[in-house]
Parts: sequence; structure tokens; C-alpha cells
Amino acid sequence: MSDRFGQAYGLTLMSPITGELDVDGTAHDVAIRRELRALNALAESPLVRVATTHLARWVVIDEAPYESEPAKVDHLESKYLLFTSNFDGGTLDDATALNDYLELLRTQIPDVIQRVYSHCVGFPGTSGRIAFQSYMLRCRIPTTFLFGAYGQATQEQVQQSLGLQRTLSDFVLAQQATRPTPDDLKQSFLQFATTAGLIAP
Amino acid sequence: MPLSNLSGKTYALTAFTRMPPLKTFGLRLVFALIRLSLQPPEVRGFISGVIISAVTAIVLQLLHALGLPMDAIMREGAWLLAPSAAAWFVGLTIHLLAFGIVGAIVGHFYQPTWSILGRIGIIQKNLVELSFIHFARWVIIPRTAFPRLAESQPQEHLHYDYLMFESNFNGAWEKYIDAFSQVVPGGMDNIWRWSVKYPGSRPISPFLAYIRNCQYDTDYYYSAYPGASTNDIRSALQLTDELTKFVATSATLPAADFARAYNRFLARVQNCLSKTAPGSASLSSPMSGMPIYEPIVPLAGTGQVAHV
Repeated sequence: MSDRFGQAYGLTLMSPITGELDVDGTAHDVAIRRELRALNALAESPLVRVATTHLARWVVIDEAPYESEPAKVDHLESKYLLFTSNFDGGTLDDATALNDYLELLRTQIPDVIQRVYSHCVGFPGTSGRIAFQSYMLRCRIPTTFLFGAYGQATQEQVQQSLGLQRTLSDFVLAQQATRPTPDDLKQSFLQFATTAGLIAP
Repeated sequence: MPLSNLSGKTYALTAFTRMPPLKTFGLRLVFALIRLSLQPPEVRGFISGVIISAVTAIVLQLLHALGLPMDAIMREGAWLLAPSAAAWFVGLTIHLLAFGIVGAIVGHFYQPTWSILGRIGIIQKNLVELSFIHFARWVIIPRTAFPRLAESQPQEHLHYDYLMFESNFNGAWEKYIDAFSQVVPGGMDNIWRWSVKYPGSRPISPFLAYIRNCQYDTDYYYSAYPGASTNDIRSALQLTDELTKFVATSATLPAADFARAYNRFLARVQNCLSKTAPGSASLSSPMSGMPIYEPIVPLAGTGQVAHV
């Protein structure tokens, strides 16, 4: 269960990048960076559509690190596109949780996945579910140890809690400003709790 | 161009270090112990007992081989079977289980901090107290495990296994590394001592240089809550729990009792109140001039103050 911390799942994918130049005469790693730079310029991240994602990143790994003499030099024959994500695994078993998440990537952001991964070796496209999942699973590296400060909470629970925190804070400040009687305070609070969905209307 | 290592308040650190393949086993053992330290105390005690009993079984067998009358394993098996190879294995099983059960009972009441698991438990607790980490992960990539997806893709010929470290944290890079080094120096060293030319987490300067050398910039970074720090999220989750309980217990109280309960509730949760916006880093958080949420509300018209 090293891919998990609480209900959260840590996915690590390393996809080899095609070595030759693309049709424009651009190196594929440069083309990937261009695509990712275009995503950075968007007002809203496409990963918002993959709603169970807490945090995710893409990193192009150009070359192995080198720590100076007497360490040996490792030269990577391929460049790699690293994708990591912390997402909600919920109560599903690991395989189902992972397959469901890959399916979300395929169906919610197919355009992004297609543009970025078309520069990677063996990418089959996003049209076939099984071929896509098989490709991603071949790129998967098992996580050795995952740690999360709130691994028990789903993305939706975190969003709802942050929203509730904000509205309750506003409510408390408003009550301080109006100095209500106990009756008014209780009535206002019950109204707040009903609006927040904590009490059935 | 936006800074890709940042998403709102959250910084993405990605680092790769290299390990001679044999040393990777040491690191895997460290992570196995960390995972074990996260188990309930009874499970930790049981496994510790089994490990101790395995060591004692080896010592007893060595002494027996030297001609000393120390064949305790066979004697334990002889309770059930005539002396034989099968009896020896039965004896060994009894030996391991007995120590394991005693370990589980002891572990239920007492987890010594001087033991390996006790020390790792402290490191784990300190890691949790590094309250600015959202998620972190370590991934061991053996030198033969880099994905090769086509015959046309050249095969890697690497000297070392790799350790990828990824962290998502609030705040400045140097302060983060510094705090990591101060709070969990033993934990850091146990994880990275297997890596090539790791300088140790103290003093901090060579350590910072080492991390800089093996860090990769993020090309695209996404956080679902760029405006929220780890503490914002933890306090919001705690506040939701407290608020749900408060609503369940106070909704039917008479107004005066409700007001007093409300004030007690505010006193409990005032450190959890904040106006963090999940989608923006620019709105206020508890660190940026927040208003003070008073736990006592003057009750207008009654001339009274509802005391906590």
C-alpha cells in the first residue's frame, strides 16, 4: 500500500520522450515544453476538470544528475516526461482507483493528453480506453513512500471545508458587528446552518 | 512566463539523487521500518517480538552447534512431536509466535523511544509537525526500471539506482529545506545517506547546494487549492468537524443556552477561522492581517455578556 496515504493515491508516471525531431523539425522535449508553457498561460487549469486531483505536475527530465568526482557519469539515452499526481483513491482497491483516474484523464482532458503525450514513445492516443490505460501502466513507477498532511480527506471535502471556513468566518464577524440578542443570534445561526447544508430546510 | 514551480502558495520540489544498487536495499529497509512505525502499537510490538525471537533462535542454534546444551527450539517442538526436522520447525513456530504475542501485549502498553521503531515514530511525528507540507513522496527507480516502450527506444545503461523525491509545500524554498534539516535531521540522513555524495543535513550550506544540484524545475504545476496553505486546509477540516458537532448538539437549546454554547464553540475554533479562498493566493489568510474573531459576544439589549 505504499502508493497510498489515507485514502489519497500517489501516481508516478515516467514516459520516454521520442528521440527524433517532430514534423516541424523541433525536438520532442522542446515541443512538450511548448505545450506545457501554453497550459501555464491559461486562466484556468485543465486539470480542474479531473476533479479528484489534489496536486499534479509535469516535469521534463533531460538528463541524470551528476555530483562531481569520483561519482560515475550516467547519461540518459532517452529524455522522460514525469507526471505525478495525488488524487482521491477513496475506498476503491488500488487497481480500480488507478484505472478510474486514468479514465478521468482520458475523458476529461483528452486534448491536453493528446498534445503532450503525442511526443512520447509508443503513445497510442486517447481514443481507446484499454490501449491508453495499458500505455500509462507501462509508464508507471510504484511509489515507495507517500506522505500527506490531509490524506484522509477527498478533494471535494477539502474544497467544501475551505468554503465553510470562509462563510462561517464572515458570519462570526457579522454577528460581532451587530451584537445580536440571544434569540437573534440563534435564529441567524440556524439560518446560516441551513444555508450551509448542515441542517435540513 | 509564470513560475511553474509555484501554484499560488504552494511550491513544487522535484529532486533525483543516485544510489549504488546495493545501497538501495538499505534505503528499502529504512522505508519498511517507517511503514512499520505507522502500524498500530500492537502490530509494531508483534513484529518486534518476532524479530527478537528470530535473533535468539539463531543464537541458540549457534550455541547448540558449538556443543552447548542449548537446543531450546527442538525442546519446544518436542512438546508436540517426537524429535525430528518437523518438530524443529514446530518449535521454531512456537518460539516466534510466543515472542510475537508477548511483543504485542508489551507494545499495547509501552513503546520505548530508544528502540528503532520508537525513534522512527518520533521522526514520523516530527514530519507531521512540519505543517507546511501538503504531500511528499519518495520513489525508488532501479537502474533497470526506466520504462522502455519500443524496440526503437535506446536501452538505458546506468550505473546507479535513482531516488526521486517530490514535495508540495508552502513558503520559500530555502526556509523549507532549512526546516526539514532542523526538524527531522535524523530522518533526512537515514533516507539520503545511501545517495552518492550526500553531505548530511547539517551544516545547512552543503546540504542546500546538494539539493540545488539534483533539483529539476517543474514545467507545469497544478494545485486544487492554490490559495490555501496546509494549515488553512487542516484547520478548515477541523472546523467542519467541530461545526457539525456543534450544530447537532445546540440547535434545540433555549436561546440563552445557545448563546453560551456558541461562545464556547467560538473559543474552541477561533484559531481555525480564516477567509482563505481555495482558488486564489491573493486573498487573506491567518498570516496576512486577519480580523480577530472574539469568543465573547456582547448580548445587545440584555445588558449581559455571555461568558465562555
